[in-house]
Amino acid sequence: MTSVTMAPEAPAAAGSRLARLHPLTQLGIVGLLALAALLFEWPVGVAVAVVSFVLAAAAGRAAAFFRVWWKTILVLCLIILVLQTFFIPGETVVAELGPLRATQEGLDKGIGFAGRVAGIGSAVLLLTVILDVHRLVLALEQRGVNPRVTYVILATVNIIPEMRKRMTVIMDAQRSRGIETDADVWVRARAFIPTIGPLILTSIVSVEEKALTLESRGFSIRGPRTSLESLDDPAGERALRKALIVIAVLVVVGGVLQWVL
Amino acid sequence: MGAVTLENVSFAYEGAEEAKVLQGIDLDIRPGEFVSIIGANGSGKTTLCNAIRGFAPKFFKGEFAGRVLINGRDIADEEIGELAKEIGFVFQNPFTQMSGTARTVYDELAFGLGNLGLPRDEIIARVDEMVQLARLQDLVDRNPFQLSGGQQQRVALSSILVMAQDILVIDEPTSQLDPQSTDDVFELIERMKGQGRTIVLVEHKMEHVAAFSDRVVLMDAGRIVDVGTPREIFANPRTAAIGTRLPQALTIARQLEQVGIRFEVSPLTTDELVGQLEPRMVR
Repeated sequence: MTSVTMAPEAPAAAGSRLARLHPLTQLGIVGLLALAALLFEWPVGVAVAVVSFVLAAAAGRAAAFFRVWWKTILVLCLIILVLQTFFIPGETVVAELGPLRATQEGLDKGIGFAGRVAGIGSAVLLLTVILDVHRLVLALEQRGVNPRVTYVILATVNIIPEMRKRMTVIMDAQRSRGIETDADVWVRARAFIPTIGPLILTSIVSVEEKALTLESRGFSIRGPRTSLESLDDPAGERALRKALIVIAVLVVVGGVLQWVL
Repeated sequence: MGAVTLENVSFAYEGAEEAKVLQGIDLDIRPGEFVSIIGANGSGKTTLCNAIRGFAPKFFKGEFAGRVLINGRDIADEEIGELAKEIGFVFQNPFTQMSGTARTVYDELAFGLGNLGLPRDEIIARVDEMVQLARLQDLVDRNPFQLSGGQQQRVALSSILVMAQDILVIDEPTSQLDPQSTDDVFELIERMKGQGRTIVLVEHKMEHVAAFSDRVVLMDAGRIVDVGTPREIFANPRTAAIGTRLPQALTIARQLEQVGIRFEVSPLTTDELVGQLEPRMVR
């Protein structure tokens, strides 16, 4: 009888070339973008946001990127802009809204701050839509990172849907006891404590049992481990990462010089 | 030499005000033996399992006395993780027995073998074999967290069985499962028994205890009050008196005896009950 193995191939590397890059290369690219947005003036931040969107589109994740981008980064930037414009004191008043005065100085600061936030936020968001955490963990393990550290990274990502599922069960249970959970903000706020309490308690118990599970599976055994999966790290990408490091150093030097001069 | 030997083991959880959860436990389990531990809730069954695996007192802190020997070695001298090479442990809750890192059932099965550092080819061969054995072919590509409780428990049990430890401690594996999932889990346990593994099982479904066990340990208030074959234990009136449920076949037989139907041997399983009643049936 012939045996057909069902062993998995290398972890998901589907999609565009960007998505197939080694996770450390992806981290390098995103890190460089974020660094540039942080160290230079707002036009660079805006440019980084645009580049991030273009790269997400190139990776076939434009919709996922934009869906989160406008709900989080855009809203955050607008709030920053409005607050800075109206609450940073200045001599040049550009508009008045009741007792509030928008100043040119506040507007300048708001644009500068919001531009940086837009750049850094967009770069981080790009990472979330192109990075496969399993591949990242594998890459880290191949570089000798302690499995306990990589476990925490993976388990944290995986626990979110589990917690969401548990939250739904708890809310159903509380509803069956007559606690209203779906209505206006005030009702939802009152339902928060009877919902979050059991969630925290069951999570604590789960952590204990999870620790026993890991011990039972030999997680704390000393010695080398075997992974079924392996990641390719082509010479071209290794060279690219070195180039990214050099560029990052230049960016830092450029940013510092810009402040000094 | 016993596979599992407990010598005068006592244990009290740290900070607990009540009496010791285990008191003066002496037990010797032979290699390849299937021993079930029964008793009312709070009688110390789960703590006994934890003591055998070394979780008490190494994970659950408390006052421990006595010795637990695995294949003749005192586990007090062993690292808690290293014991995974010799003892498999499966517990009640299927939902918390997923590693949390695997994105497919296949990866979940391979997780423990990877921790043991086995060669890749051997891991693949063993996982493939376990997939066939546990009939998990339809689940291998599924996310472990997306499975039903019964499926998760089969995966959890398989994830331990694939590590091929000589000793398995299984604590109420079917307490949260439906009848079909329960049968699936016991089918797997039966196969492990067939492979000659030493099995320590805590279970409330007495029909399964009666059907599979070589010996049954009856516990009450942290002590072992009786040890014997399933027939000896369930025939003893003390077993029911301390709140332990009897196998359904035996309960029916006892009720039939009250209306004058006698049994030569107390039936423990449905097959035994039917086997003794069938010759007397008027067709």
